Amino acid sequence: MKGTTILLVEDTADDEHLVKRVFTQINLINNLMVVRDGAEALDYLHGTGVHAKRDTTQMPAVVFLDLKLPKVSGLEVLRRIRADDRTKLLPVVILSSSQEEQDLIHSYHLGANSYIHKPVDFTEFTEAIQQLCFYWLLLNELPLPKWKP
Amino acid sequence: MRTIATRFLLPFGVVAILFSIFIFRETYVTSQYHANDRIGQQAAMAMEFNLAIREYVSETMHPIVQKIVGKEDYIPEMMSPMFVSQSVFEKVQKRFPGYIVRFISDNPRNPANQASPQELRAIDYFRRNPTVSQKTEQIQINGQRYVAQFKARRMKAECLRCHGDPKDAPAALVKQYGVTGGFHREVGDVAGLDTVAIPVEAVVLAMASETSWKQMIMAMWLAFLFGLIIIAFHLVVSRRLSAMARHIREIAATSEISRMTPLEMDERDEIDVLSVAFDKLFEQLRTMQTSLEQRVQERTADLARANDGLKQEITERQRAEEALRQSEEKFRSIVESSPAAMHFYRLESDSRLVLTGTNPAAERISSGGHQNLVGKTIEEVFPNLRDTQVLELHRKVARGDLGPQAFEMPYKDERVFGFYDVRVFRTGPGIIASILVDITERKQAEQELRAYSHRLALATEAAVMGVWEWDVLANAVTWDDRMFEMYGIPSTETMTYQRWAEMMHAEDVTQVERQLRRAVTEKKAGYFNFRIIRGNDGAVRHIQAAASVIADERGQVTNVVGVNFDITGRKLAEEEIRKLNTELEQRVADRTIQLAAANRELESFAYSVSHDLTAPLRGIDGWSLALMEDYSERLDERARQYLGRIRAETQRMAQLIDDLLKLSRVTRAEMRTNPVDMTGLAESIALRLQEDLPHRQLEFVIQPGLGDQGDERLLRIALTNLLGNAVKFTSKRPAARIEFGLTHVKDRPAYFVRDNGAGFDMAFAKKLFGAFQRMHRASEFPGTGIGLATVQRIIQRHGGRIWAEAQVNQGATFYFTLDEAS
Repeated sequence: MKGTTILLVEDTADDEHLVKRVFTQINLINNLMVVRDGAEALDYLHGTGVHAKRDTTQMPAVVFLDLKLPKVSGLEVLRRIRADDRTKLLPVVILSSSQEEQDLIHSYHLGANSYIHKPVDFTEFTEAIQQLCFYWLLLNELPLPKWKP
Repeated sequence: MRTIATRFLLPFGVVAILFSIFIFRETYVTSQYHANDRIGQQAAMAMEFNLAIREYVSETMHPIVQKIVGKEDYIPEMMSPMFVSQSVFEKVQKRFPGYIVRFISDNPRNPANQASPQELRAIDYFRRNPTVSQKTEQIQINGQRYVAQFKARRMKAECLRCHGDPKDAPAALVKQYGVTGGFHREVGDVAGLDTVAIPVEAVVLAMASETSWKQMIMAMWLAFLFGLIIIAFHLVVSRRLSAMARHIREIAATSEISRMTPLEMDERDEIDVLSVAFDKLFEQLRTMQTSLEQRVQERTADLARANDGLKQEITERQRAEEALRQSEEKFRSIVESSPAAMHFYRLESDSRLVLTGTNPAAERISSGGHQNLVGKTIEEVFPNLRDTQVLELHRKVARGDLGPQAFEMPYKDERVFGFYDVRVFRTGPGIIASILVDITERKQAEQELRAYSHRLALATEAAVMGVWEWDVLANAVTWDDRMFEMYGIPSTETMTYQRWAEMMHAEDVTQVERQLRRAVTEKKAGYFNFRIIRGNDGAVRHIQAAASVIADERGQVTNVVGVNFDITGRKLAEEEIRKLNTELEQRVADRTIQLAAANRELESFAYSVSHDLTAPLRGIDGWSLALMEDYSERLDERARQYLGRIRAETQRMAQLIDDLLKLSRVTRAEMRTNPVDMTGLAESIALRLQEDLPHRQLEFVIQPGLGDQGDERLLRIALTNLLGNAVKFTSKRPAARIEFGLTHVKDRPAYFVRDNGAGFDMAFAKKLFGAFQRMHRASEFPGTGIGLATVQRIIQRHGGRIWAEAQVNQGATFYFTLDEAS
C-alpha cells in the first residue's frame, strides 16, 4: 500500500517552519515528517539509530531532500537510498536553493526523480509545495513494495 | 657453263630413271596379280577339301556309324561332318598358321562357330540372293588382310532330322547341345557358311622377296650401261671439244695472235678437221695484224710530238691561273668569315669617302644592314659621326697623310648601337678599309666588375665582414683590413693557414678543419661557426665563416675564398633571450596555477552564494508574508505597505544574486564551439519574448540566412539579453521595431541589434557594459544592470567585440563581432 507520509530533509529552521506552515494551510501537516540532517534521514528510512523501532514496511510516498545538509550531504543520502534494496525505487525530489548546473547533473545521475529550485518569493514557494504534494500524494503511482521487514 | 656432256647426259639420265621406275612398277603389279591368283587357288583348294571331307562324313560315315550305334545315339567324332572337318583342319593349321578354314552359323550348336560380323554380312548376302552360293572378298581380321572365300550351306530335307524340330532329333544330340543351337531350320534356308581365309601378307611377302631380287639385278645392269655411255662420250667428243674451246678462248683473251701455238692433231674425224681449219684462220690473222700495227705505230709517233708542245703551253697557263685564284680565294674567305665588320671606302676627287663594299660581319652590327648603303658616303653610313675627328682620321689615312690607325669608340644611331674597336688602313691609292670589332660586352663586363668591386667593398664594410682568400697551392692567405681588425692583429703581419688555425679556439680546430677539408674535396661552399682568441686582448669571439671553393678547368682546387663575421654580440643576445624565455615560461606556469586556484575559489564562492545567500532571503520573504497573513487585522495599512516593500526588496536582492550567478557561470562555463544558426537563434528568442508579453506590439525584423561559429548556449544568453533589452527599452513606444542582422562597420562584418526605444546618452556609453551600471531609473525600466556585462563577457569569450550607438529617445544599436582574429 502506498505511503501517505512525506519525508522532508531540511536543516534550516526557517525553511522547516515555513514548510510546516504551508502544510498546515493545505491540511497535510499530519502527513509531514521532518528530519534535520542526512544521517537522520537514512536512519529513518532504514530503521536504524534513533529510528530503530520504526516499522520500515511503512515507507513515505516521497522524500523532499535538500542538498546542503550537515553530516551527510544530500547527494550522499540520495546515493545510499538508491544503493539499498528497500529504498531503491523510493521517489526522491531534490528541493534546493542552488541552480548550479553541476548540482542538477549530479542529482539526476544519482537517480533523483525531480529537481525543484526553491524560489525566494514565498508565494511562489507555497504554490510549488502545494503542487508537489498534490502530484506525489495523489497523482503518482508506484510499483508494489518489494522491501521486506 | 653448260657443257655438251651435261646437256646430253642429263635428259638421257632422266629418261633412263623414268624407264626404270616404269619397269619396277610393272614387275610389282605383275607380282601382286600372281600373289592374288595364288591365294585364290589355295582358297579354292582348301574349300574343296573341306567340302569333300564333310560330304564323305555325311554320306558315307554317318549312315554306317548310325547303324552300328543305334538310332538314338550320336557320336560327333564320327557322325558330325563339322566336327570331323574342323578336326582335320586344326591339324592343317599347325603347318599353315593364320590359315582359317571353318564352318560357321548365325545360330551354331558350338559357340566357337558363331559367325563374325563379316560372315554375318555374307550370310545376309546369300539369303537375299538365293541363286548365288559362293563369294570371294578381301577382309580384315585383327588388322591382317585376308582373302576369304564363303560358300553358302543351304538346308536340305535330309538335314531336318538334326536341324528341324528338336523333338525329332536324336536324344543324345539334344542331351549334348540343348534345344536351341542349330535347330528350327527349314529347307533352303542358309544355315551356315563354309569360310576359307588366307592371310595375304604371308603370300605377298614371299612373292615380293623374289621380285625385288630380280629388280636389283636389273638396276645394276642399267647403272653399268649408263656409266659406260658417259665414259665413251667423254673420250670421243667432250674431251676434245673442250680442249679446242680452251685454245680459242686463250687466243681471244691475249689478243696477240703471233704467240699462238697451232693445235697438233691428226686429220681423222670432223673435230680434227675443224681444228686444222681454225689453225689456218689464225695464221692469216697473225699476218694481217703485224702489218696493221706497224702503220699505227708510225702515225702515233707523229701525233705524240705535236701533242707534247701543246701540253707544255697549257700547263704553264693553268698554273698561273690557279695561283691567282687561290690567292683571291684566300683573301675573300678571310674577309667573308672575319668576325670583325669591314667597310671599304674610296676617296673621291671631291674628298667624299664613298662606301664600295662590306663583309657579312658588317651586316650583323647594324639592324638594317649596310649592304644597301654601298655607293653612299661615310657620313650617310654613320650619320652621327658627321664632323667628328673620326671621319677626318679616315680621310687622312685615305690621302696617305697618316699610317694605319687604331682606336676605341662608342657609337649609337637608329641602326647601330655599341662600343667598337676600330682599325683604319690604306689598301691602295685613295682606298681604305675600316674594321670594326664589337667590344660592347667586354666594356659592359669591365663596368660591371668595377661596380661589383665597389658594391662588395661597401657591403663588407657595412656588414663588418672580413674577406679572405687562401691560395691552396702556394699556401698563401690574403686578408682584408677588417679581418685583421676582427682577429686583433696588426695588418702588417703575413698570414698563412697555420697562423689562422693557431688563433682558433683549441676545441673547434678539429671540427672546422674537417668541414673545410670536406668543402675542398666536394668543391662545395661551406659554412662554419667557431671561436677565436682575439690577438690584442685575448677575448673569446664567435666567428661565423663562409667558404667558397674555386677550381681550375681540370677540376684542381686552386683557391678558397670566403668571409668572416664576428657574431659574438648576436650570440650573447641569443643567450639572453633564451634565459628570458625560460623565466617567462616559468612565470606563465606559476600564473596559470594561480589562476586555476582563483577560478576554483570563484566556483566555490558562487556555489555558496547560490545556496547560502538565497535561503535567508526566502526566510525574510516567508516571515513577512506570514506576518501579513496571520496578523493582518492587527496591522494597519502603512505596516502592510512596509511589509510589501520588504518583500519587493527581497525579490530585487534575489534577482541580483541570480544575475550575478549567471554572470559568473558565463565566465566559468566551458566553451563548446560549433556552427550556430544565428537567424534561427534570434527567431526562437523573439518568439519567446512575444509569447511572454502578449499585450506588447512587437515587430521583429531578423535577417535570414545568418550562421557563425560559436557556443550556442552562451550566444543564446547574449542574444536573449540584447533582444530582451530592446523589448524592455521600447516599452514606452506604441509600436516597437527591433532589428537583428549583419552589417559592415569599417569594412568588417558585425552583427547588430537595433531598436527604436528610449536610447541613451552616448556620454555614458563607456559605462554601459560594467556590472550594476544602469542608464535609467529602476522605476522607468526595471533591471539589475548585469545583463550587458554578461553579454560583453560572452562576446569577449568568443574573441569578439561589442559596442553601442544611441541617442536619447532615438533608439539604440548594439554591434558585436565574433572572433575578431579570423
